[in-house]
Amino acid sequence: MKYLPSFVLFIGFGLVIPIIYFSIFHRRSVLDKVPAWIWSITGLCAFLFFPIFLFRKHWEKAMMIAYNKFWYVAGVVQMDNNFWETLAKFLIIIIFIALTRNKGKDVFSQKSSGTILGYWVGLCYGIGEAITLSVIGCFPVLNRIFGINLFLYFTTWYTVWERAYAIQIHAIIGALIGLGFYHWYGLAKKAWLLLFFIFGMLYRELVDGLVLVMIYFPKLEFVKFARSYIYPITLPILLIIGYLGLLIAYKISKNINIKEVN
Amino acid sequence: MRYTINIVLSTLLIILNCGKKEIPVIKLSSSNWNEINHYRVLLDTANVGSYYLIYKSISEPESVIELQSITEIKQANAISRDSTVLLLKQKNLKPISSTKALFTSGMIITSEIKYHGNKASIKAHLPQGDRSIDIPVNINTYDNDQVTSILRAIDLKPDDEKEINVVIGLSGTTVPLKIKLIGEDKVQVPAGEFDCNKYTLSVVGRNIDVWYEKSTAKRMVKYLDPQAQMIMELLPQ
Repeated sequence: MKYLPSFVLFIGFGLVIPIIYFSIFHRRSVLDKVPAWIWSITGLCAFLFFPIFLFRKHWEKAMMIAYNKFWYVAGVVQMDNNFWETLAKFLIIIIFIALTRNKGKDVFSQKSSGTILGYWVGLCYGIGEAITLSVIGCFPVLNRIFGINLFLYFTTWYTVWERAYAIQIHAIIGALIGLGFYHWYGLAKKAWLLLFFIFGMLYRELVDGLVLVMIYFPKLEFVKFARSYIYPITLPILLIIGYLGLLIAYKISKNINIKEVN
Repeated sequence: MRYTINIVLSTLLIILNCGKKEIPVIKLSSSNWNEINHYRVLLDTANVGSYYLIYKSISEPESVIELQSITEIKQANAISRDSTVLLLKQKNLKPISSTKALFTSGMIITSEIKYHGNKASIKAHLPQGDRSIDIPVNINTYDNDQVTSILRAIDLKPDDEKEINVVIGLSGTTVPLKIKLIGEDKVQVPAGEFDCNKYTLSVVGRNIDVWYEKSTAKRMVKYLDPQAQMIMELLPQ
């Protein structure tokens, strides 16, 4: 019973969710041209990019120790974190395109397939985060290697609940980057990729920035409320904001007909 | 090829040596306190609890100080209690061991730290499970719960700043802590009016002001954490 949350996290999040997502979406639009092994490699890369990009925590920790004012932590240290996390998703899509050549470009020439693949990348990155944090929590000696402190991090039902939200937040950012690539390949609006990159970073800032507000301004009334109901209200609202943002970005992005492209 | 290898190796050597610097040893004077200091704890001017520092000097089998610090806070019908027993060497206040019990949110968390020459072995026990870790320490590493006592034994001149590392048991890590003597100040607390030295402690970018009496006892008189809006003031004995 004690290990049930870990089991749900490792098997449920690590295997079942990606399999379900793949089963539902791998035949949508031009994604049926992408072989399963490419989906797997892309997902695995996304999973591994979390620990690979985690070393940034060494300098982010040093930055925080050097100057611990709210504006600096939220505006500089946290934005550094947002940049690397968004960049990780961006690079995984580059790897996907490099692996699939023209098929990959076709995927991002379609709005739906580009968004689905971006979401897949973010989903697997978020799963990589959930499992990596649990592993580091179990082996505190890894704290020093990665520059983070998870000495008292245990995989409980609360962890599973919180990670279920966090994984989707990463997936939304991945989908936004996927939409950015659609603007690059599908609409030939290359500058929009940068805009979607910034949009992804700012969404991350909204989520983590709120957590920082809770730490630095614990006496604010709305902070007391947000902290008390973080799992049932605060995180779901942030998630809804993310999905709404993604939906609006998706709807306002022009559709193109692939036959016209070909 | 040889030229390239030389360049790479030289660069690596420079990088590896960049972070290393001589650590100046911070000397603390020997101490044999036997006393109980009681403080009131204020949050936003509301009296919410107590802080006790209980010192007992022991000579056998070796000269040590047993320092017990107890913090009790009552807020919104919730009580939290933090009790730590520390063993320190009398001659230099180096920590030997620490045992902490924290009662908060209906939960008991305990930790034990054993200080060896170059490492501290930390064990934490939570309802969810146990954790243990060995962390490296250096000549200037002390326990987080003895920080308010270190200033009684440190010798600083105005505007002098010294840096130590403190072990935080429940985080399984060390953090740097800077101590700076700001100057002299007169402070009024429930125990009376004291001529004090005012210091600033900087830890993880957070500044805490502390006042210590100038007389030989050098007790902590007042503690002010502006970020947490927490004040501790010495009470009469």
